[in-house]
This record gives sequence, structure tokens and C-alpha cells, in this order.
Amino acid sequence: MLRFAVRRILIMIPLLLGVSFISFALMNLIPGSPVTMTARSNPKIRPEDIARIREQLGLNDPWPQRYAEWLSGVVFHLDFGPSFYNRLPVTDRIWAAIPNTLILTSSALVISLLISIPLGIYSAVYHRRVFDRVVNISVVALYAIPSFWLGLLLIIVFAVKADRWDLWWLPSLPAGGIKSSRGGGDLWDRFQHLILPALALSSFQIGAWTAYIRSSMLEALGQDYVRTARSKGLRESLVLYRHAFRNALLTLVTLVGLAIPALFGGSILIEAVFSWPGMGQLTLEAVGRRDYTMVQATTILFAVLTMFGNLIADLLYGLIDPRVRKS
Amino acid sequence: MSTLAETITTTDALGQSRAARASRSLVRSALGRFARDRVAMTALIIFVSVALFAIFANLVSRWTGFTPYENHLAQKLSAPGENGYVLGSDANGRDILTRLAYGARVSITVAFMATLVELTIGLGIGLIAGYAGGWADSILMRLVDVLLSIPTLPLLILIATLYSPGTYTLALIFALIFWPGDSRLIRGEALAIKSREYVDAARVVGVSPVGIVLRHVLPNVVPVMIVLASLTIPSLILVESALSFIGVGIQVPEPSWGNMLDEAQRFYRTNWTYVFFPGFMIFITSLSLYLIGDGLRDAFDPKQSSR
Repeated sequence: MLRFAVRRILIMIPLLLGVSFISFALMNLIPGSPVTMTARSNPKIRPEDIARIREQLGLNDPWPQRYAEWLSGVVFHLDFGPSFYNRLPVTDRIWAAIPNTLILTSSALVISLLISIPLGIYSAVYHRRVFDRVVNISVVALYAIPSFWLGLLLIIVFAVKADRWDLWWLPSLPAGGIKSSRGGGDLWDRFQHLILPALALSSFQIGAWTAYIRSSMLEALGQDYVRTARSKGLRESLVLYRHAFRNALLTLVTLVGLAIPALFGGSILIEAVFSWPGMGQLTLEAVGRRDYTMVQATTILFAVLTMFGNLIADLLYGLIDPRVRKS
Repeated sequence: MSTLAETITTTDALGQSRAARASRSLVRSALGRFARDRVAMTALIIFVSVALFAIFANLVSRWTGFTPYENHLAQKLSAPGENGYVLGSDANGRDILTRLAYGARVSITVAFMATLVELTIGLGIGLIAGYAGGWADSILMRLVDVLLSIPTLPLLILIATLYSPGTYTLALIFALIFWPGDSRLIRGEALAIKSREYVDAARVVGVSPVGIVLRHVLPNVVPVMIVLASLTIPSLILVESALSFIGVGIQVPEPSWGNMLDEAQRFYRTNWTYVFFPGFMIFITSLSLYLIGDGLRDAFDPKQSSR
């Protein structure tokens, strides 16, 4: 198991190098730099000023050399360099943003699992009945609904209409941010702020995983070992969760791993809708300002988080299924 | 399972193998099953309506009396039905209905073109990896592994910001980013087909590898390609609208459903219909396409039917 884990971690190194190299090259091979942006916004700028700014930002060195310098900074000092926008170290802002993104994405993950597992199991148990048909259509609807639009609708229903219309029976929830600006910040307040964005972010995964669990449960329920378990006189819930669902669990772990890039991607959109101060907000802000160091850093960190997610999924898979470890 | 001799005799002079003919009749009977699928047919009708809405956007414009670009700042943020705006007006006083129709053109064009290019790349790479095998296969599939482990949305945001693409460039970028998943799937299909007896037979009688791929493997991946396309198109509609929503996709004033929603989101407190309509168009279009895709999958593989 240890060897499997070590090998799996070692594979990540060339992958990360590749990602960082590609994004660095992409940003440096295209015309237009942060300096041209400054020049465009200030028509009176003199050519010698542009040259001076370029010198300050170190843009006069060839980009492979800058890549090497940047890489050694990251590897040896965990320093992603100064922001092109305001010269402050980008690393500080990133450390502040990462926990917020992780809270949002992991809550969405937990919500997706909590909803999709029972939904998938019981729609397979009630195969072709009304419940199953409703679940079947809703699953596709959850697949197709743009999460950012769902987020806006949730805000309209729970933050605006619950106050204004006669939707008194709906809880009134905050429209955005991570905590109330005044007097907030305790656990309950933060929880209230988390509900809507986490729900909006989980919609796609709920759809995808329910569909998967349903179909693999349908397959499992027709198998001999389930009939054996039933004929032994086991309780139905035990048959479902211990015997039939265990079969689905293996692939579900893989699916969770594969969903992680989608969750981080989705969190960019959801953070934009709910003004959630995470990595996505940081990325979008930096992209707007052509802050290359910041964009570079967030792209790499999204890749790192994704790979760690996949790593955890792979290791879990190895723990559950001994055949994987040996191969 | 056909014997070797049978397979050889059925490969006639025109190169129409049994596999190719079987595949054509497979497609036909699948379409028959699809036509009897009520959910899928309803979805098809909805999608065709959206497509007609897009195609005849200029007629919509003539009917509403507004072009998609004209501003009427005095009448901005009209409610539906107010001041002659059927679905209301946006923050610049532009007609939402007309812009939805022109936005449909953009969203659907990007998704369809990107799917076409993406599947062509995916098919090419997948067939090469699956049929050639060996080192070509391992190199291509390692490359696919790397590309699949990169989170696509941050990468797309990066590229879209750097290149500020138009409709066609955006489609091309999508294709270049999303082909790896398709190629892996098609490689799997090609591998499975490669081990069939009729392929062995063709090889024995001296058909070249290119000939085998074109006459035997390609016709058999057609059903997978159709299903894959029908599921790729709606996902790309969602990706395009997401990019336009965060302001790096299609740029205003050119309307796309995503950038309309972006412009609308600031007014969620006062004009909920302004927020509702663009998102609803994205939703029903991708929903109908996904249901069509589901229907096609069931039709091609009745044993695996989910309903």
C-alpha cells in the first residue's frame, strides 16, 4: 500500500511541472502584457515609463529564464512571486482564499453524497414506479441546470422573495458573502451563509451520482448474492446497504475523485454569484487585471487541489479493493 | 457469431462488409425505437423549437420591432409586457426576447461546431490508439491522462482571457480542451472491435490496417459517436454560457445567454424575470439535448435501458 501511495505521489510531480509550464508559456507567448494594459488605460504614458515598468516587472528577461526563477521560488520558498497588479506577494492572498474554497467544495461534496445515495438506492428499489420516474427526470434536470443560474434563483427565492413576498414559510437566508458584515461570524451565521452556495454547487453531482447509484443498484439487485442475502432472512435495509450498495461504492469512490475538477471549476462560478471570497473570486479578479502571477498561482493551485483529490480517491480505492494495490 | 469463412465471403467487391451493413440497419432500428420514446420525442420537439427560434431570429426581431443592439435608456429594465417589450427590457433598454433569439444562435453554433471538431479529434486519436496499440497507444493515453487531470474551467478562463475569442475561436478552444475524454472512450470501443473475429478474418485475407479501420472499426463506433455527440453538445452549451457569464466568453454587446445572465444578475432584487429568462433558455436547451441523448443511448443499447 505504501509503495502504491509513493508511486502515485511521484507521478504528480511531472504532471504539475507540465501544468505550470503550459500556463506560463500560454501567458508569455501571446501579444499583450500587463504593461500594454497599463499603456492602454493611460494614453499619456511615455515610452521610457513603459520600459521602466517592464524592467521592474522583470519582463525583459526571456520567459524560459523567468519560468526557471519562478519555479525555484515556488519549490524552495513556496513563494509565487509579487503580484503584477500591486507588487504584494500573491501567496498571502492565496492562503487566505484556499480555506474558503475548500469549505464550499467539501460541503457541496457532502451534500451531494447525502442526497444522491438514498435517492439512487430507493429509486432502484422502486424501479419503474412513480418515485423512480420522478427521480429519473429530476436527475437529468439537475444535470442540465446551470449551477450559477440555480444559485441566482435560490438567492431570489430565499434572500429576496422570502422577505418581500408572502413566502413566510421559507427560511430567509443571506444572499452572499461568507458571514454577516455586522455582528456575524459565529458558527450559525457562517452555516447560514454556506447553505445556498453549497446547494447550488452540488446540483450537478447530485444528478450524476444519483443516476450512477441507481443503475448500479439495479444491476446488483438482480444478482445471486443479493437473493442469497434475502433468503437468509436478513433485514431489507441490511441487504440494501451492506450487500447491494457495497458493490456500487467502489465506482462511486472513483466518481468522487473524477468530480473534483468539476467541483473546483463550479466553485469559480458559484463564488462569483455569492461573492464568496475564495480561489475562484481571486482568479476572476486577477484575470480582469491581467495579474499574471496571480493567475499563474491560482491555476497551479487548482491543479494541485485536483490532483490531491484524485490521489485521495485512488488511495481510498486501493484501501477498499486490494486488487488495485498489487497491479 | 459468424465463422471465418462466412465473414470472408460476405466481404464483397465494393468493400461493404457485413459489419458496415449491420451497422446501418442498427442505426435504422435504433431510430425506430427512438421515435417510440415519448420523453425523447418531447425533448426533440422542444429542441427543434429552440433551434427554429435561433434560425428565424431576424423574424423575431421584425415581430418585436427591436434589433438586438438598439438601446432605449429611457425604457431600461421594463417589466415583461411593459413599453412593448414582450419579455421586458435589459439594463440598456434592449429587448430581451430579441436578444434571446440572437443569443440562441451564438450558443447553439458554438456548441455544435465545437462538438464536431472535438469528436473528429477524439475519433482520430481514439482509433489510432485503440487499433495501433503498442507504444502509440501508451504515449497517447498518458497524454490523455495528463490533460484529463487539469481542471478545465480555470484553464479555459486563462485561455479565453488571453485570446478574447469570438464565436469560432471559442468553439475551436473547446474542441482542443475537451477531446481527451472522447478519445479514451473511442479507444475502448476500437479495442473491443479489434478483437472480433471478422477483423481477424479481414486481416487474414490481407486488408490493410487503414482499410480495416475504415470499413470495420469506423462503422461500429458510429452508435457511440452519435450518443457521445448528443451528450457533448449540451455540456458545451453549459460551458459556453458559464464562460460568458463570468465575462470571458462571448463579449457584449453581442448577445449570448451567458452574458445576458451576467448583465442581469445585478438586478436580482428588482427584476427577477430579467434573471430568469436567459438562464431558463440555457436550462431547457441543455435539458432537451440531454434527454435526446438519453433516448438515443437507450435506442442504441436497448438491453442497457435505464427506464
